Order: sequence, then C-alpha cells, then structure tokens
Amino acid sequence: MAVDFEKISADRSWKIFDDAAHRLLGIDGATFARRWDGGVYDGDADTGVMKVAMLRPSGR
Amino acid sequence: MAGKTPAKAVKAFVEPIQNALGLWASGKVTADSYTPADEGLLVFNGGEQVKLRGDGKISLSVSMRYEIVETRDPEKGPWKVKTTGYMYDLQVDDVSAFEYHWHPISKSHEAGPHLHCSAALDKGHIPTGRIMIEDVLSLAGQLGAEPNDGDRWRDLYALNREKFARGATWGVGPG
Repeated sequence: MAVDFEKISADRSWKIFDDAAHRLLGIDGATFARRWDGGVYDGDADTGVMKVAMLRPSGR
Repeated sequence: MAGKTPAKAVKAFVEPIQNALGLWASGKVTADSYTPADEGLLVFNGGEQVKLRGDGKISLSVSMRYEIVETRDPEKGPWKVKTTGYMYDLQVDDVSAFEYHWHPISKSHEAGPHLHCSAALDKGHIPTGRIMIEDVLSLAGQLGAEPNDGDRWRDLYALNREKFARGATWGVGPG
C-alpha cells in the first residue's frame, strides 16, 4: 500500500493545523484561532483561510 | 462506514480513501479522533499539496471532517462515520484549478458543497452535489495524472462508489 494510516494525538493534529496556518497565511495556529473566533475572517473569500479553518482540531 | 467500535468505524471509513489515494500517490492519511463526542479530522500528508503520479504537474490536497455516530443498522455498527466537511484542492502546475469545498463550520461563508474554478468563475461558489475523493482523482486522471494500475483503479472506483451509496444519506448521484 502506498498510503499508510495513522491515528494521531490531539497535539499532532494541532501541529498540522499550526503548520498550515504558517504555510498558507504566515501566522501561527493560535493567532488564526483567535482571529477566526473574533469574526476577523467573516466573509473572507480567501480559500487559504478556509483551508486552515478546516484543519483546526475540534474543541481547540 | 460502520463498525463494532468507534475505532473500527473510523478505520472502515478511512480504508477506501487510503486505497484510492494509494493508487495515485504515496504518503499517510491521519485521523485524530476515535471519540463519538469529538468531530475528527482526516488529513492526507498534513494537508499539503501532494504530487500525483503521471506527468508531475498535478497535485492534490485532502482534508475531511467526520463524526462518529450510532446507527440502527442491525447488520453493521452500532457505530458509523459520517463526513461533516471536506476540502479538496486539485492543482495544475502549482495553481489551483478545481477546489471542491464543503465547510459548514462557517456561517459566514457558503455552507453547501461547492466548487471554486477560477477559469470559470473567479472567486465564485459553483454549487455541486456531494463529491467523493474518488471523483476528484478521476478528474485528476483527465488532467494528466495516472494511477499506477488503471484496471485496479477502475475496479476500486466502482467498488467505493457502491460502498458509499449503501451508507450515503445524500445519495451518490449518477454513475
């Protein structure tokens, strides 16, 4: 099989999210989460914003 | 996809996705939750663009959100996984060509499944039905990507659509 599967921890899931925030938006995950929750991105048409939002682990 | 435990339900959910991606690329699919109370994330290669086999020009990023729920199906379950969102970005020469999105997490953005295709409608949301990752891979094949086994891909595509249709609450569309 060329693609493996791994169950990862909450911390590793957050790292994926944090890495994506850096890669796509130049900020860290915590900053993105704060801005998202504060409505800064409401209506933002940048698909990079939604890519990062969709990688945010549940409940964090 | 269903299972006797939440973990088995997630593994049954992941397996066809893992098999499909494995015919077009290498890497790892991760899932971060086996807990029914938490919405989980299924991500391919950390959400980064991954080059697909073929002419080297086509890349794909995949992320999905899911929930583990109880099912009353007497033959399967009692747990099954339902998809609660997805982001598929198919790029040609490192430029997004087709972005299939479904992100109901946001109330201020388009909540239904849709497509971004800048060549057709810049920044617009083109409504679509529910899109399977296999559909996106099939499109990638038309753009220059190639599975490592064409016969195996055709069989897997048909099998995965059939499996999905058995559990789908939205319907799978014509095929």
